[in-house]
Amino acid sequence: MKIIEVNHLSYKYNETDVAINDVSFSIDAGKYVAIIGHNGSGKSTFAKLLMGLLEPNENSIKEFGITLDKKSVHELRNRMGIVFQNPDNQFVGATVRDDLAFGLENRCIKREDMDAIINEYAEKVNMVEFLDKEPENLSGGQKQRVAIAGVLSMNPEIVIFDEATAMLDPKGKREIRETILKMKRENPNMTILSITHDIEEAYQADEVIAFNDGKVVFQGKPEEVLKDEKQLQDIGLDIPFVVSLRNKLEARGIKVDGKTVEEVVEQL
Amino acid sequence: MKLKFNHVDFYYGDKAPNLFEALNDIDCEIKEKSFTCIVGHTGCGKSTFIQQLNGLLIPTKGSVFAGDFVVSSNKKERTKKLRPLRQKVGIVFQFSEYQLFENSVEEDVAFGPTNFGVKKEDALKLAHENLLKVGIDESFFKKSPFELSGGERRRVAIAGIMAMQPEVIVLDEPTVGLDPRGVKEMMTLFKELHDNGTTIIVVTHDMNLVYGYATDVIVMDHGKIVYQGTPNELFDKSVDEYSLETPLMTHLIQELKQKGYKFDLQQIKSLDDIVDVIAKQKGGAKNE
Repeated sequence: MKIIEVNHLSYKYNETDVAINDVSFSIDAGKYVAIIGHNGSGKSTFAKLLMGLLEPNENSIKEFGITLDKKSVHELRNRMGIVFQNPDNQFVGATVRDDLAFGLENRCIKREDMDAIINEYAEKVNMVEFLDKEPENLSGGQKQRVAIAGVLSMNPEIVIFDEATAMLDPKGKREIRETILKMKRENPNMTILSITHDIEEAYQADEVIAFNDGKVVFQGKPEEVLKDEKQLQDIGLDIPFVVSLRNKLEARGIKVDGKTVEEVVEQL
Repeated sequence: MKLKFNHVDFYYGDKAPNLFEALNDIDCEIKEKSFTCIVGHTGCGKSTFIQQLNGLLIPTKGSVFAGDFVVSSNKKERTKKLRPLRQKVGIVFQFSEYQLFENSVEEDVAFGPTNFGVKKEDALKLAHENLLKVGIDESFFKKSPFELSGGERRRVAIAGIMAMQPEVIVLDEPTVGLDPRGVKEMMTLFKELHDNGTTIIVVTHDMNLVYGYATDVIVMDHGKIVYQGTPNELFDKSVDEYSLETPLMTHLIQELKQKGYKFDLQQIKSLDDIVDVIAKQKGGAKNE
């Protein structure tokens, strides 16, 4: 099933600044899709359009089969969640528990049900022992995990990560990557869109969509689309390390097909 | 300019129980004209460490020697005027894109040199030269910094430090949030500055950058220096000990070594060099 359908979508911030230029594509439900592209390529604008935070041109976006417009935006937004880049900008509560309660209150969840829900979702992101901690005592990765728990507790069908690991240190990045993969395992029907600069993360996704200058340059399985180093460099991106290794070996007449460094070395 | 730490402790807060020991007995030397990376987990003291380098923070105990300058906890030993030191050792802070304040890009970059006594017109000339070096062309010179993208503003901030013509440039996580092309451009710029004789000190979490660019590396943990040496030695032996990420290149070399391939790490500068070794040693050759 197509969960997101984009049809001749364009968006400009002003007359000269065209962020999205007539793109059309679709995303299947239950996929983990990495959206890549250099700074300013249009990918974050695309995420904001999907959430209805920016207004798309008429009839250009369908979500869950419903056209996104002024009337449907609230209903559609309720079925989606987004995790932003800066961990400090999305923490509203005085403690982790309050922060998670905030989202539930907005959804009019009964007070007596809240505690159980908060515990359940804190558990999912390994934050139970931090429930009464204040944000200043949390690392960036921990704050982002709280943001993820907050989003998950709304039972979204689509979750968007807008460069959610960009400001984290390597440990924080790893925690979030692992949390995303765990989410995917526990919710096979959930669609995950991850806007990222991390080509190694994109290589782990089910599908990759690349933006450049407001256009979609390619869409497909990472194995199929992330192999042309020159093409990727031309749009300001890197090639996954293991793919680069395979390409260079092949140029020397050594053919291998491993998908990890370990698998490739095994074949040498 | 040689930089030397002599048993430096640094505490935030002035009385117990609010004291926080950020640096604990730092004793090290940063070589003149080196490209030194400082790594370690968030909160290990890296940012406190770099602020000792030009006297923005004064050691609670011990002394920092920067060329002829002495930044000592002991007032009598301390160089009276530290301002000239700040021209020689320039620090680009994290998220420097939020630290521009002048009306135009060129004035922002010219601020530093003007402040250190360079005439306005010469300062503007320095500003223009250095803006071009960081890839900001003339069309931006008169614009307000607020009209620029985050990546562009960060480059303006770096040009502002370069325009003071310091002997040492210190950068706190200069590549965070940049896309791969931006990272490469930024690191290439630092490499050029280094090739031209500037000492470069970069705080980073990205071990692939340390592998690719650093001549020296300092690992910090809980306010102490736990390792100082070359990146090759660090990644070859003790990456796990300090729970740092293994660079992709090192990971590959380690896997290949287990398979019986032999490497002279001094000769390995790029993935092509590794592939060369594989091509030469693959099959029977590696057993010879």
